[in-house]
Amino acid sequence: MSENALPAHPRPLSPHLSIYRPQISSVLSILHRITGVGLYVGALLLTWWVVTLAYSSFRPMPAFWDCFTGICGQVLLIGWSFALFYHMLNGIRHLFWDVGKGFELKTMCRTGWAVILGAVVLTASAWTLVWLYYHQPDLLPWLS
Amino acid sequence: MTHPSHSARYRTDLKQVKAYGSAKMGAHEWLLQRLTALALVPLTFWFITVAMRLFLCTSFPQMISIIASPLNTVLYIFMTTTMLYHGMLGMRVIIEDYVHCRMARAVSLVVVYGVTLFTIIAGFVAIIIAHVTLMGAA
Repeated sequence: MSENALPAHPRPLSPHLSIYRPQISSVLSILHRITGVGLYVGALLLTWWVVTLAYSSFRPMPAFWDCFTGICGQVLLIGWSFALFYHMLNGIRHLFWDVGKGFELKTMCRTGWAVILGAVVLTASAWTLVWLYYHQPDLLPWLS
Repeated sequence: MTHPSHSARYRTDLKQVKAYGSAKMGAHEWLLQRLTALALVPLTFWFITVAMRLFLCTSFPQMISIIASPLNTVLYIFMTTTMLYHGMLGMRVIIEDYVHCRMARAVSLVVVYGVTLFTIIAGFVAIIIAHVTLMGAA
């Protein structure tokens, strides 16, 4: 397992990706891992963005600010927030598995679809709220 | 016990005995991953609310009142630390899964741990600097 040298007689592995159709279990699992990595990188970037904001006395340098509020930054931010909601909901599903609940096939499929639906709904509603408030500030007084 | 040629016999009896048993580590990381995950559920909802409010700030005093609130400050530090630590543990699992060369694995783990700790501390410093700035501006 921690070999540095190549094995003298490489042994054949059983096939995996070439024979299995993508299923709700496998796709959600690898998506959990991928969103985890994306969230980690995004969290590092966001923290550094806050650091630069604090050091520039909240008067951000125009080029840097445009980077985050421009179309590219918006797309990345929406993607990061989807990853956040998805990873959180699937994480809750994982926590239920950790205490032993929800392993039945039907339950696993249903909760899997619920996680995807929930992530899409939460992302859409969060960004709709932002967009709504941006254009009609009086609609949501509790947000200010 | 059969004795193959001397050049091939690297697994001495002492080495074999010393390697018996479990790794005796890893349970702590497993538990902390679950605990940070549990803490992150409410913290994320708080984070999203505050992020949305800050994102939609139209005036500087508005921003100040959100950042200067002591609850927000503490939760910001808590959130940064917990989220980055949870991510660090997750990246550790991923590196251990996919990086097979021992040296590359050790280096990657050290790099990830170092970058994460550096960023956590930077997050601390940022909120302190923010408060100092706000107190100066007030």
